[in-house]
Amino acid sequence: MDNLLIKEEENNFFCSPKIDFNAANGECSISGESFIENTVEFYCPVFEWIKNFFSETPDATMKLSLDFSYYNTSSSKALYDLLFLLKKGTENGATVKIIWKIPEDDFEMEDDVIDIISETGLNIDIVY
Amino acid sequence: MKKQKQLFFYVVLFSWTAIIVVSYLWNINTTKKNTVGLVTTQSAAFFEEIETTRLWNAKHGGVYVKITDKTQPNEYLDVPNRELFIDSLGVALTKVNPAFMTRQIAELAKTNSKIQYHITSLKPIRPANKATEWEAKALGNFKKPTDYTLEFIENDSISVYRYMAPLFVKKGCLKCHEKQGYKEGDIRGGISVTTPAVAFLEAESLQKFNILVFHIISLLVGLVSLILFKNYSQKNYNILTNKNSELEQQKEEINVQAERLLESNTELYEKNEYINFQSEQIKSSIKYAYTIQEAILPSKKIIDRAFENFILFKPKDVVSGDFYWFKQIFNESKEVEANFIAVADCTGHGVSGAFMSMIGTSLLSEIVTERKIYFPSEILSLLDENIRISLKQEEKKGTDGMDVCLCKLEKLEADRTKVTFAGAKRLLIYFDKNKNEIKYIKGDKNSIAGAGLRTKSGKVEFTDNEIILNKGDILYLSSDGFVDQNNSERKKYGMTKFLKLLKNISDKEMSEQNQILETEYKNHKGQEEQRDDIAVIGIRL
Repeated sequence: MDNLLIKEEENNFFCSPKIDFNAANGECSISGESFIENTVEFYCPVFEWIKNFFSETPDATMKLSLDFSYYNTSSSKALYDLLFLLKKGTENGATVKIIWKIPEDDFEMEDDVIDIISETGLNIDIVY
Repeated sequence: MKKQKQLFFYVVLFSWTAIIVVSYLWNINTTKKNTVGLVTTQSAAFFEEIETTRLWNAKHGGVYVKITDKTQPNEYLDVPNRELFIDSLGVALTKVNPAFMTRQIAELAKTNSKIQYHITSLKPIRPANKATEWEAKALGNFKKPTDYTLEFIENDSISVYRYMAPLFVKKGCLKCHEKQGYKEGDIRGGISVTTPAVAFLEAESLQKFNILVFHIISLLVGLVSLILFKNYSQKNYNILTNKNSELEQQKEEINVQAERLLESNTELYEKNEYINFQSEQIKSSIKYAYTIQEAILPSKKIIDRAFENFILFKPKDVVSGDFYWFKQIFNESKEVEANFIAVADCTGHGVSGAFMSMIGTSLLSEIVTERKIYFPSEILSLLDENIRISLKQEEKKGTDGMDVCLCKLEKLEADRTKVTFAGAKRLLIYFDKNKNEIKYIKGDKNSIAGAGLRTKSGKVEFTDNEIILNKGDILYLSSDGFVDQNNSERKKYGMTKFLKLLKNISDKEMSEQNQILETEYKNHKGQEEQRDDIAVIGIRL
């Protein structure tokens, strides 16, 4: 299975984050700014990758690190979908460890992440 | 061009042929003249030889020769001692005068040589020497010693040249001819020399043949060279013409391309015009849409009548996905029972956001005015439900929705106000004047009809939060447009900074607060583009 690497991109107005998913050791990260108009198109390969990763090795261990400076509303919808896929993985025997780094004094994002934790029931470590 | 060349070619061709023909004729003529000259020279030489011999004879007054069968005494010679007899030798001699001698040489020549002589006179002593008709005519024409005549006579068997020159009377002649009445210097007669023409004609015709062959060869060589040259130059011309026509063709192609370019330029220009036209239309259409949106947004006058307030409303595009809503409900005695105010942030911005804002506005009004639902939490639940129905989200799996900050304000005694707040992913910020504190109440984590909404039952629950505020306290309702605006380092303004800012300006006039917020926003944004629609409303109680 191939690694997934998508470079961070910034075009005058919108911004997409860096995606770095390692198939060999299960270390994955999304970092940067997710200010995207068409989030479905951008995150679709990520969803596909996660699905394949868990279907190949259901008892795999994944370590996901999230580090956003900002994400817009439609990106947050995509993040929900992504986290639900991870949740599904844990239900099928995988081990998932998530670390979410939140920018200092951004309590809105913190609130959001807390909401996500309660919503998904996933164990997410919040780091500042 | 081509015709001129052709004409030139034919002129040269004709000229060459003419030159050859003229040269041929001239050469032939010269050859003939040469032959005549040769014959003349030869005949004259013979004539002179005979004349010299005769002079010699005359000088001696005649010579004596032996009388033989063939040489009998000349009966026309009337001189004394015509015959001499040498008895001792037993020989008889007779006198031979120039005329007799000439006749005898001529007779000898007749048998030994092809060249013949004939001595003649218009008044011959010997009748046999009488001039023929031709000779008589020629003799009549002679005037001086150098005169002569030459004629070519063509016979069936043999062609000859006949030459004739006059014999003038000299001293020696008078011995015999004085008696005829001649004086010295008179034309006494002539000698004709006849030469067979065959040898000359043969030589001449050989030369003529050579000339002919030479001229034919010259003509042919000339013509062939000309034709070859013509073909060669034609080939060159053709190559040039081909190249020319190729160039012509290329030029033509370039012209066609230029035309096409021009056409596509025109097309582009037209399309551009059309796009500009469309763009203008769309712009004017959107501008018009804004006037509608503006009309649907609550009247500032009505809000002003109710509260001291400011409204910072900055659409990202012309029309906005953010909107605010204001509604007053009255009791039976026509007094204001409650004021509803909301700030909503629809997903998307621009036209799509504006459509959502229209739906939001009309649904809020409908829920409050017609259905008379006054609990903010319930209003949001209904709004959520109705939008889902309106947008057929169950079938279409749409995620279009809105974040809403909704407050109900009811007057209490002693200038106090009860604020009931329900938030769909929006918070309510307020300033507590007495404590000089800026505070906020979190809304529910669910958005209206949109992302982040996870419910197991059909209905989405929202929470009412009640606070009692005093006069001078300020409510701040906002979308996330202000706090989410990035600066040149892509760092957003942020809620913490926003709350600090509000605290710092809370003692200012509402209009001044508006100004400060706007300035602060512009400073933060710098050269960056506006990220989202912005709506911030402040209400001082």
